Amino acid sequence: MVEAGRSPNIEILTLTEVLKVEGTAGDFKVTLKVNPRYIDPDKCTACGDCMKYCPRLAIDTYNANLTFTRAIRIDFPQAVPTKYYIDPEVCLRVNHQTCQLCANICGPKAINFDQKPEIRTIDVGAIILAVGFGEVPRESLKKFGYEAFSDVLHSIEVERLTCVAGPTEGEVIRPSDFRHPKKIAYIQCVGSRDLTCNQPYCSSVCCMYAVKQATVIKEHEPSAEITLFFMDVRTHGKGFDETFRNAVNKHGFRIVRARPGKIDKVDGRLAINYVDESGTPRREHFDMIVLSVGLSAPEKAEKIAEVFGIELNEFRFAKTRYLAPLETTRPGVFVVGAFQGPKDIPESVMQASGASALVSELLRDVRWTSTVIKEYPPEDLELMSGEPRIGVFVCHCGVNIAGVVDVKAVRDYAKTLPNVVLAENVLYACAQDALEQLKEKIKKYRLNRIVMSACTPRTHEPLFQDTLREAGLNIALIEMANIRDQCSWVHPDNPEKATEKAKDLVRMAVAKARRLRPLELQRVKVTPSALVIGGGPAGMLSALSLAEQGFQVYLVEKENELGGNLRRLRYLISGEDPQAFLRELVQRVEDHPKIRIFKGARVEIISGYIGNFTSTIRLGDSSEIVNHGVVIVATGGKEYRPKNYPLDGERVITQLELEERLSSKKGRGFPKRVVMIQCAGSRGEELPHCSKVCCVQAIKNALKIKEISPETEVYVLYMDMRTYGFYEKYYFEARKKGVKFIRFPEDRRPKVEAGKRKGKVRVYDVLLGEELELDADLCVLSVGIVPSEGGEVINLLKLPVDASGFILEAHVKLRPVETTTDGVYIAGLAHSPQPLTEVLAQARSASGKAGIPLAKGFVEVPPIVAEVYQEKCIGCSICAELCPYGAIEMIKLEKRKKAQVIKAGCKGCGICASHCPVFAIDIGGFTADALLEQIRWLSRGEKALEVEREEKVLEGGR
Amino acid sequence: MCSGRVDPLFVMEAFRNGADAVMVGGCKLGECKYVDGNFQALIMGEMITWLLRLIGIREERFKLEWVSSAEPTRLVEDIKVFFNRVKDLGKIGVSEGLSVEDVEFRLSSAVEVCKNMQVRTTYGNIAKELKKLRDFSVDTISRKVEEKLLPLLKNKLYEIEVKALLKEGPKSIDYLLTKTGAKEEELTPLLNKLVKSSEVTG
Repeated sequence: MVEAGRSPNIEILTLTEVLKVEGTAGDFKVTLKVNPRYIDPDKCTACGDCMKYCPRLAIDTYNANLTFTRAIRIDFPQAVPTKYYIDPEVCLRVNHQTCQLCANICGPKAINFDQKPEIRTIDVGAIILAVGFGEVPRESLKKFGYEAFSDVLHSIEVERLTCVAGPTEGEVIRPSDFRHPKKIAYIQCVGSRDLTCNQPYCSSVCCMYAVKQATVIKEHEPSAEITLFFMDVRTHGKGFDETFRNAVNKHGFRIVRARPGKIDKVDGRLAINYVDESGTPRREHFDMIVLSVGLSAPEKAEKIAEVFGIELNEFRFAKTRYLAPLETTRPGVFVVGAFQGPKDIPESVMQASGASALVSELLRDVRWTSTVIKEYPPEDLELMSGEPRIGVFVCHCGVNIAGVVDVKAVRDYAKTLPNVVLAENVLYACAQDALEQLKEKIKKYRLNRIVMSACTPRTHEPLFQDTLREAGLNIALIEMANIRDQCSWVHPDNPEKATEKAKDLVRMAVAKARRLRPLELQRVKVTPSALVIGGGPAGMLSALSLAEQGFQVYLVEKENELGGNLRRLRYLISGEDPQAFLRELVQRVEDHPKIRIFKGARVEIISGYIGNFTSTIRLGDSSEIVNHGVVIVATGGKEYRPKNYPLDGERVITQLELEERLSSKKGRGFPKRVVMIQCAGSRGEELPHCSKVCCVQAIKNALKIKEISPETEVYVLYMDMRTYGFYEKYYFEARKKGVKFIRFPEDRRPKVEAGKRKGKVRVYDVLLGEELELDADLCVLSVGIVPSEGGEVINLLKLPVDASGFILEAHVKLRPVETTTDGVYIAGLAHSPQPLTEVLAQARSASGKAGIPLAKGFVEVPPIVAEVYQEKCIGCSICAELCPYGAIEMIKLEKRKKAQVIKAGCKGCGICASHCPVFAIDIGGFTADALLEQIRWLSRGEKALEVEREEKVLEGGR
Repeated sequence: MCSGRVDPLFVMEAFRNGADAVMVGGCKLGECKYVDGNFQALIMGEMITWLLRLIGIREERFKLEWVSSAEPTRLVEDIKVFFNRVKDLGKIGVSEGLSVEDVEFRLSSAVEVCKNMQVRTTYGNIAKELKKLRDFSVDTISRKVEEKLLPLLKNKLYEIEVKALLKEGPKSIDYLLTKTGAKEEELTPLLNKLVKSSEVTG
C-alpha cells in the first residue's frame, strides 16, 4: 500500500466513482466523479488534532460497526493516503452549516468545506477491476440467530475484536455482558453453499480463516473451548492442511461435522441444535456463536457490469472463462481478486500481477510514453565529503510536539552539540513551504547532514530524503529523531521529562548523523531476455506472455514435445476444450519470433544474479550458452502412484486414466458400477498434502460417466469434498444426478481388492457407522500430485522447497510467485498442485513479475546493502552461509578467500553484519560505527566522547 | 532495522552506557520480512542472557519482544509490563547488589567479550548450524548455546576481567573472585594458564 502510494506513476483517486467507460482496448475514455474529502491532502499532516475536537460521533464502519468514531477521521494509522477525511453523511458542518471546530483547530489549515464533487475524464489503455467482494445476504445470518441474539457475531466482527488495533484492543468480549466467552462455536458456510439464500457456491476462504481466528482467540484466552461446525473441511491451499492440523492439535479445537439447524436461547444461554454424523439430534450450549460468513459478489455488481460493459456470471461475479481467468467479456478490461470469484490473499495477489502482465502485453508499444521519471540535480560531492555540518530542525508539529515538549529548549540544546552549525524550530517540517526553506538552508549554511527532530521515519523519511536529493545531498544524510510518536505522544502528562527525553533523542541522532555516509544509488543493467524452464502450460504461457511483452525468451523442455500434463486432459469441467487450447498455445509459442524452443533439452548450469544470468543448455551431445535477465521455473508435477492400492491400469486406475477412457468410450458396455476413492495416498496417507484438483476432477469424471451411461452407479468415497468456489455447483449437480457420496474418516482409509473380473472396495461409512463392502467393476483412484522428478534445476538455483518438494515462495501472501532469489520466479505445479485455470493465472503472474526488470532494463540496487571491508575479512564464510538471499559469494583475492556482496541480491537485513567475527561487513545506513556511536551517546555525550578517544576498535572501516 | 541486524555488542554497549534495561523488538516469529532475521535474533538473545548471568546482572533487564506492526496497543502493553518490572529492579546494579564501579567493570568486560573474535566465530557458527537444521526452537537454541558458546563466554570473560584487574598490580585470589563473581574452580585453570605463559607471577 505504502509503495503504491509513493510511486510517482500511480495516482490514487480516493472517494471516486467511475461513471462511464467508452472506447476499446488500448484506448478507453473513463469518466470519473471525485467526491470531496473536505481536506487538502497536501496540507494535512495527519496529526489527529481535528479528530480529537470533532464533536460528532459516527458509527465506525471500519471496525464492523462495533464502536464509534468521529465524523472527521482516518480509518487506521497505515491508511494510504495517510490523510484524514470528513464523512459527509454525518458531519455537522456539511449537513447543518454549524460547528466547523475542526477547521479552526487545524494548524496547517488543511480543511476546506468549499470542495465540490469534480468530474474528470482520463484516457487509459486498459482497465483492471479489483472491486473485491460484498456482504452475504442478511437472511443467511438471521437463520442462525444473528440480530435476535446479541452474542451471535459474524466473523468480520470477530476479526476486529481479535485485532489489537480494534475496538477492544484485541480482547474477545461478548456484546451482551462484556465478559470473556468460554465456550465458543464457529458455524461454517454461512451465506455459502446455501441454496435457500441463493448462495450456492463455496466461499473458499472461510474454513481457513475460521481456524486462524480460533487460534488467535486461544492465544488471547487460553481457557476458551472452541468448537467448529463444518460441512467439509476445505483447507486445500498450499500448506493449509498442515496448518489446520497443527492448530487443531495444539489448541484442542473440537471439529463437529454438521450443519447446525436452529439457534435458541435456553436458560439465558445460546444453544445450537444439530444432528451429528451418526444421525443423533443434539443440543449444545455456547457463550458465543461466530458465523463464518462467506464472500458475496459486490452489492453493486450489476451497476459495475453496466458501467464497464462486462457480463456477470450466474452468481453475479465477473464472468470469465476457465482458460482465460483474468479476462472479462470486454477486451481490455481485466478482473482480479474476489470479484473474479471467492479467493484468498495469495491467489488475489497472483492474479494482480497476472493482470499486469496482460496489460503489459496489450500496451507494449506505448510503454514508457507517459511515465513520470523524477530528475534530481547531481550530488554536491564537495559539500558531502567535508567535515559534518549538521542542521537540526526541531518540529512543533502544531501543538502535537510543542504542546508537550519545550521545543525551544531542545533547539538551544541542539546548538551545543558537536558539528551542529544550525538549529532551528519549524512549525510543520513536512509542509511544502518548510521543505522549500530546508533546501535554501542547506545551500546557505552548507549543511551536509540533517537531523529532523520531528515524527516518524515510517511516514516522513521518504519525503525528507526527496528534499535532500533536490538540494544535491545524498538521501542517506538524514537522521530522524522521533520526538512526537515516541515522546510527546507518550508523555503528555510529563512535559519536563519529555523535554529531557527529546534532548536525549536529538543528541543520539546527532551522534549518528556525524557518522552517516552517503549511499550509492546503483543500477545494474538487465539483459532483456528470459529463461523459462518447462514446456507445459505454465511454461508455455509464461514464455508467450513475456514474448508478447516484447522480450526474448528461451524455453527449455526436457521432452521432445511441448504440452506437459495438459496433453492428458481431454475435457474440462467448464465444458471448454483443453486440446484445442493446447494446440493453439503450442502453435503460438512455436511460431513466435521472440521465443526459441529447446526440446529434449535440460539446463545444466545457471550462474549469475538478477539481470545477468548465464546458463548452459544441453541438447544431447551439444550444449549452448544463453544470457538472460530472469528465470521462470515451471518444471511441473506429475501424478503420484500410491503404494497402498493395487493400481493395475485395468480395473484399478487413476482419474487421468479414466479420463482417457471416457473420451473414447461409448455408452454400451460401460461398467455397471464405478467406485472412486478420494485422497488415495494423499493427506497424510503417503503424501502429506492435499492436491487441490482431485475432488473437482472426480466430479468432472463422475458427471461424464453419468452423461455417457446414466444407469452406471457411481460412488465417490471421500474425507472432505473440496469443490471450492464455483466448483460447488458441479458437486451439487453430481448429487442431483445420483452420484453417491460416502464419507470415510482419515484414519480408516478404504481398502481395494482387485478381483479377476470385479474388484472389491471396503469402506467405513461414517454416517452408518459401519464398514461397507462395494463390488466395483471399475475402481478409480484420485491420486495426488508431486513435483516432477529431477530436482536439478531447483538445486542449481538453490531454491528452498517444502516438505512435499514444492518450491517455496519468497512470501506466501505478498510474493507468491517470486522466490527468495531475486530474478527467479515460479509458475505451475512446481509451485503447488492446482487446477489448470489457476496454473494459467499463475503463469501470467510470473511473467508479469519477471517482466518488471526486463521492461525497466535495469534493477535499482536499494542503497541499504551490505558491504565488505575486504582488508579486514578473514574469509570464514559465516556471512555467506547466513545470508537469507544467497547474496554473498566467496571469492579469491590474491590467493585469499574473501566475502563479496552481490549487491543486486542484497536486501539489507544485516544478519551478515551482526555475525561477522571481525566486523568486516557492514550495512549501509546502519553501520556498526554509527549505531554504536548513537548508543554511546545514550548516557552522557561527554562519557561517550571519552570512550571514543580511548578506543578506535571499530572505527575507520573504510 | 531488522532484529537480525542487532549485534550482541549493541545490547551490551547500551547497558554499559547507562541503560537499565534493553528491549529488542521484531516482527512476529515466522513473519520476518527478511526470512529468518528474528530467528537469528533469538540466538543473540540467548547469548545476552548468558552473559548477563555470568556478570551477575539480572537477566530480566533484557527482553526480546515480537510484535506485528498492526498491533500498536500490544507493543504499548508489552513496554509497560517490561518497564514496570525493570522499575522494580531499580537502577542497574542495585537489585544485583553491585557497586557502580563493579557494574562498570563487568559491563566493560562483557562488551569486550562481544567483540572477541573467537566468541563471535562460535556464535556465527551456531547460527549457521541452526539455519542448516532449520530448527530455531527455543530448546535447540538454548542447548546449542549452552553446549558450544557458554564455556567460551566464561573463559573469555574471566580472562578479560582477570587481565584487567592484574594490570593494576598483584591481587589476591579472593579479590579476583569477588570482583569477577566467578567460582574458584572456574578461575584456577585460567590463573594457571596465565602463570605458565608468565603473564602473571605469584
